[in-house]
Amino acid sequence: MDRNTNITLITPDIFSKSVDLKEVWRYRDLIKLLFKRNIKVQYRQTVFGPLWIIVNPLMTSVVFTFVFGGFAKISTGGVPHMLFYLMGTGMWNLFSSSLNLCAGTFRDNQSTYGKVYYPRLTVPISQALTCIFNFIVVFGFILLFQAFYALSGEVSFKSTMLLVPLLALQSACLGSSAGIIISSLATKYKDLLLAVTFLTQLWMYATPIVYPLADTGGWMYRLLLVNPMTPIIENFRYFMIGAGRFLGGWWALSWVVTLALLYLSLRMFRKTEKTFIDVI
Amino acid sequence: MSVLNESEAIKIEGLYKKYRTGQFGASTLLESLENWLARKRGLEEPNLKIGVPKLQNEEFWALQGIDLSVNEGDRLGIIGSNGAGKSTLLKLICRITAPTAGSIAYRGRITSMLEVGTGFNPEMTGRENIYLNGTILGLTERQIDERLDEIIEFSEVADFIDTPVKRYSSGMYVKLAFSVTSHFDSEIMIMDEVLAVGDAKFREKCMNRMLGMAKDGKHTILFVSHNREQVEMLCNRAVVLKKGRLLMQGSVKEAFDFYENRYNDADV
Repeated sequence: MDRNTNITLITPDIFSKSVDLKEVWRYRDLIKLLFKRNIKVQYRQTVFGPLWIIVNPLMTSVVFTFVFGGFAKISTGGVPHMLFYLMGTGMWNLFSSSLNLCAGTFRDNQSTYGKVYYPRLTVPISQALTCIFNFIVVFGFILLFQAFYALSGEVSFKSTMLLVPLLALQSACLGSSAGIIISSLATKYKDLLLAVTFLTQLWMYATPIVYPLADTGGWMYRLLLVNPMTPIIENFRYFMIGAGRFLGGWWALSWVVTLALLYLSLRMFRKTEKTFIDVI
Repeated sequence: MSVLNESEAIKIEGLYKKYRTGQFGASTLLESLENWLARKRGLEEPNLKIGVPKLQNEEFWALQGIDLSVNEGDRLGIIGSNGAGKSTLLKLICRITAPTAGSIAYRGRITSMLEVGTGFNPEMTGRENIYLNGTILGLTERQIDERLDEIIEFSEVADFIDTPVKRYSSGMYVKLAFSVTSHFDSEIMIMDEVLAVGDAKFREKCMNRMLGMAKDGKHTILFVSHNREQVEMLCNRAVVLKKGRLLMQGSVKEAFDFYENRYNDADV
């Protein structure tokens, strides 16, 4: 065995190179365990347990149905209210939970990060996987609701549904990237962590969750299109039941934004993990 | 750039670490923006403390120019008063934070026993935590499977291994933690006065286990302690640190004689 292959060299710029994905891969068992831990710990000692995964989007959709559908009489473009909101919140929650969980990476793990070295990226990766798992469960429920409405002929199943994994992946990627960027900046500027819940809330209303894109116009319509989450939500409904309009070009742009943010977030994460423990 | 000799386990060259004390230039985003705007307009930064020259900024060297070479199989005691830089040195070796200048090279993996129980999740059972801790230390699940029984037996908490660790007494917690860390031994072990835990019988068991590792020639050990007796038992060499500098290195006896008699007068 060549004894020089397992030499580690530590210098001031050790972390400045790009993320060591090979190292992350070597720690895949850790990612798996962190993922399992997230799922188990999430709802341990709760009465409803894993039911909470669907209780949240379900209750949100019920409230939306009353408030926006019932009171405010905002149209859903002919889609049954419950299904419309469930799709919107389901996909949105994947994004916002990835964002919120990853935003706390450095803050919530400083005790472990500060004592033992392991590829720090394993933590946000496992968080994103947890969010994807939760989404899959919610997606199952969306399918149930869809089947229910399909019985009465109100909606139908579209084969474009097979493209949904692409949307889910993008949503999780976008959320985690934004979260990691916030987490990196928040080691210095704690304000961000206080603002993040509030900002995601605002962002939600700037995304066609409780209203269809088709109902907007003028500057608002243009603003919504630039929002990278808009094509994800709109295309989700389009792929599932053919509601609304397929946003091709805007979706491509949204992918460009997602990948750019992903790249930026990895760079910032790398830079922060180098000495954040001295600052936090 | 450090290149390890055939016989070396760790080589440290010209290692510096700078820390800042007190408040930083800015602590909120708003203050940072204010500073940035002021710089753009060529004004004095509004959030700098009055009378503090810009560059000083309350910096100090936690380590200044450490050179150290540790051979494979060496058991090195690290001695020094509080604030001498012992923990900073170990943090850098463990890759917790990056050095300001200089380099460290080492061969193989490092396990730190400084913080036993790191990464234990209170909601998870003892068994689950063994796996979590092991993978954090870089092992695969299969490697952990192989050692599981031994770890549980050593920890003396077999009856509670499927209970969440938040229900453990602090003694049980530490026993399990020590057992986990000491069974996931790697080429380089970093140890501390971790032995001040558990009951007398368990302490002795821990010490014996550490002695076993120290004497088998397969482990390189860095041991931080003020306890002369323990260092003499475990180590064959020692270094003395003061204010971030390496004052002397030699046999354990020489180092302690120096530490006990001449340390306070030593110039750094």
